[in-house]
Amino acid sequence: MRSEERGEASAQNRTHPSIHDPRSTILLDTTAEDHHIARMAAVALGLTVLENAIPSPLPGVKPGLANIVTLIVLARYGWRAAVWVSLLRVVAGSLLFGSFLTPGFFLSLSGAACSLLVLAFAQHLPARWFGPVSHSIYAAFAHIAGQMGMVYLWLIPHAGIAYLIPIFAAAALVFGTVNGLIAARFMDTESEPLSTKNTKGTK
Amino acid sequence: MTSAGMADSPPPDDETRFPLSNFPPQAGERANESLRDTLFNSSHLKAGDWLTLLLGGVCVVLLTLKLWSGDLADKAVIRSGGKIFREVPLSRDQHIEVLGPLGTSVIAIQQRKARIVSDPSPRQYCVRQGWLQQSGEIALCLPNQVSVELTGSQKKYDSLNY
Repeated sequence: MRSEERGEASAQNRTHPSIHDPRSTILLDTTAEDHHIARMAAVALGLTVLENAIPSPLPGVKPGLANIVTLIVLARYGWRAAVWVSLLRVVAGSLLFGSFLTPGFFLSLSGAACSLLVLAFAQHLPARWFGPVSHSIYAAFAHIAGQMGMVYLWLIPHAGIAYLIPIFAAAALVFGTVNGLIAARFMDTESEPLSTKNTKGTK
Repeated sequence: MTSAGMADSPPPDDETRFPLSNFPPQAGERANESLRDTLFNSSHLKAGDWLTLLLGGVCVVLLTLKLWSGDLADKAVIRSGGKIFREVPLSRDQHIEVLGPLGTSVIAIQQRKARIVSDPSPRQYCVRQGWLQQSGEIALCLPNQVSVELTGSQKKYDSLNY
């Protein structure tokens, strides 16, 4: 929410240059796309916080609700924006939870990077047959693969972690499907961007 | 009376009141319908999505079969100081004492399972690991340089013995 407010504040500054104090403010030139990204990243961050309140039976098994936002951004603003939103969410989320540069942060980062990489290819699947559900499932599997790769290469280089893979894969399939369906649900009823709807809804 | 009651009921939701016209649902019944709609509305799942789902399901099943069907071990290899101390079959229940630089580690074999019962290592990781049952499982007491590894009929390769 904060970045949303800040985005609007800077927009006002631009339209009324006399308002802002030139001594104390460094005015960044932001575009409309920056504002979309900031808004969506804020929504994703909110979902991350929400998700962290949900107890998990096994560390690492999480619904990944923030990926709903990534999917919507991918469909609406393209892959570049999705990368921004996803990485901003990972970094800002880790700052929120105090896990910046800890193993947990690198796990999320590798998972996010892998799923973004897969999404770069998955978005080119013919839209007639493949929707957000497919994107979501592929991204979820890539996320798990990236994380397990990171765990194996860096944290626990032992073949024993292979015993956990079926659990993570099943979770990826289930949560990937559900997230994809939720994202599809949000997308199919809206012709106008979600961000403008959200701001209208909250005001 | 009933007709009056009907007239008193609130008018249907104004669809323009909330920007997301279908979310969140208002009444309890509509909530269920909306959830069902979200999860099972066929328009959300295209042919390729079903294919992806099927592929993912097959993947999960294959992974489970492949990774969880570890053959039961039939031999325990006990090492001390990097050298093989003894190889014992799991068929006979017994206690084995191994002398390391810190003291004696006690290894128990019982009902085709093996564990380290006691060990002088400060953090007791190998003791807390509990019972080992499947081939490839290994308990290491690094400070005392003692390890127990289970092996099956065929040798599996992992990062430790590759």
